[in-house]
Amino acid sequence: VTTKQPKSEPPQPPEAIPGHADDWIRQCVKHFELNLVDATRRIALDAEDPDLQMAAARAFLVTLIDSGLQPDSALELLGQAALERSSVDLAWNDVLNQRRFALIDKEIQETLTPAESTELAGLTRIMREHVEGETNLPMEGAKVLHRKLLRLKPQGDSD
Amino acid sequence: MSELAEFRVDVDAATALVHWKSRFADEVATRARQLAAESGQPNHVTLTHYRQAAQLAIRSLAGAILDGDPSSDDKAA
Repeated sequence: VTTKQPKSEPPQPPEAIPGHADDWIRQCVKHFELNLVDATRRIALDAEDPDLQMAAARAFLVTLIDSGLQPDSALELLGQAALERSSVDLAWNDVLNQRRFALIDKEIQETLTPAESTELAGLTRIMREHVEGETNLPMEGAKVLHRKLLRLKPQGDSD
Repeated sequence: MSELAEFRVDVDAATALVHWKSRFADEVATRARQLAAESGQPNHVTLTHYRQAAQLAIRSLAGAILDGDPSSDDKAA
């Protein structure tokens, strides 16, 4: 009786990133650093961590805008990133929709906090992606109709 | 005033460092791609390529820093 030797797993290739992403990272880091130096020149010499964190936030926002995003789109991206960290299910659903309406109400009442403003921007982006996504187009009914039409025999050719 | 406030860095010095780092990174990436192409795998850049490219880039960076840009003010000082 021969016993099967466990096959050794083939070595996995190291994880890789696309070449253009490598280029983009370098450009992004350079512009972020330059923007951060620029943002930092305006803070007090005895600035502490919160001041530097604010400068970093400003610099990163400017960097995103420099990369070609509209300011609103940059805020939406940051909002979506924040939501992704919060372990919320980001598939568009009634809960997210209700939350977005609640935040819009607060915006109208001018009681929206900065954090909620970012959350609203993120929710708006997720909603837009959902609405514009090809999978959400009302294609199913059209496909059913198409299948029915294909099954129909040609009639009245002689008419 | 805290001790921290007594230590300062000129903005042009900080900016020059950003440019040097960027120049070094760009040079490493460019040379690594050349090395990958020469080694017969133009579509796959490895850590070995980056390591070799970094050694070459360090030498050219040293020349670029001495040449002045973008901190040529240092020479005048």
